[in-house]
Amino acid sequence: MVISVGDAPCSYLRKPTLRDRLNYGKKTIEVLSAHAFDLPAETEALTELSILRHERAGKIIEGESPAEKAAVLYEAYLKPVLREKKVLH
Amino acid sequence: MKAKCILNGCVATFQAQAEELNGFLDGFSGIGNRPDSTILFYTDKEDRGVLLGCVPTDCVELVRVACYQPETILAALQHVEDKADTGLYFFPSGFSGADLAVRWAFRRKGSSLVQVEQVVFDTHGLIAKKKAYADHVLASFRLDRKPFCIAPAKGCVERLPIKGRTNLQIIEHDLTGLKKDGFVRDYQWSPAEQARDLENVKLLIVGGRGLGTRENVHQLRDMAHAMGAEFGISRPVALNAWEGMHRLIGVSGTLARPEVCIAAGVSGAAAFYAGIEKSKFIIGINTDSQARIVKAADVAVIDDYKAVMEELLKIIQPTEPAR
Repeated sequence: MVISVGDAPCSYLRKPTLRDRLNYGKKTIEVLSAHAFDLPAETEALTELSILRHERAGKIIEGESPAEKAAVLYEAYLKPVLREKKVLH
Repeated sequence: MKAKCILNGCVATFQAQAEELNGFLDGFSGIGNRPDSTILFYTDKEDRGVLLGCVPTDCVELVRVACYQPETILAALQHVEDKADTGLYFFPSGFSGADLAVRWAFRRKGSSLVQVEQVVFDTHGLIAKKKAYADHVLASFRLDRKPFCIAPAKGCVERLPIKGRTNLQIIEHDLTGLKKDGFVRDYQWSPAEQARDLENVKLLIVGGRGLGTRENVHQLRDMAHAMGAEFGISRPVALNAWEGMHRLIGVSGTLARPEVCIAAGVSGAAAFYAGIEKSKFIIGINTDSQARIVKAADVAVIDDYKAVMEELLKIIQPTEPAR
């Protein structure tokens, strides 16, 4: 029987190593259902799902070259914000 | 219904956890059932004065334990709460708080929900909301069985500083003799590399998988510093060991709140985006106009990040480090 127990914020099933497979590969596998562990009934119920929107304006900066785009990005967007926050002169 | 906070004073992030929980409770207080008591675990290594200055309630039960181990804490909690009829517990966000919330609910035959964004009471009882499906959906759950054990999502609210209380009621428990280490036979703490304070920087530049090589990552880091910005990375960059984990931005790392975030060569996956979504202004730089970061940014440049950043570096002259 393999019981995989973890104490980490992920739920990846640990895979048997090559050594495990060589040692136990030919043995009969007993499969237990979750009911065998006398787990309590669900204590919470899903009542609603709503879609979360992460979109912002997503305005694409136009320009012929990286230099032109960088200049537009700086003049129109970065400079006002960074000056307001006293990051730049 | 009685409600209590559970705080772990044994960790370096104690104050941040307490202030975050205080912010979470502030949004909750309008509905009632705000906790009036905190159970605070600590060892003899911690400064009691600091701990007592970060209690978000009028009453605190100070529980001294020999060491921080979840098994020990749960046993101590059982000891302190043996005859209490607490119906609602709030644990800190993060891994250890979530761990305790779930295990405590199981032991008390109650119900738990972790990574919670919001808690409300309605006619059906307690409803807790959390993000699901890679943060695309907000799911509401009705908890059926008391005690309800809630652990908020990390970074779901802004930290709310706690004013020290002059009339704080203190109840002390010394449970250092309690030995409940469970299956742990021996352990030692190994401090991780000092995490940089990326949370409160003004200008943050983040590099992603699109940077391609370690050299490019280091080059962008140097550019960021030359602009007076701090530098962060996405998970693929950390997993390739192109930079240290202490710069990781996202659910597993820092949840940053900069004035401006420039995301270069980043796709914008949900786990990463959670780390920058509180930014006031997001700029995405990516060669792929269909990348998720483009729609999730305020403005986007569709071009090679390196060429754009080099041009930007020629323009930006910081007055002082924005970090």
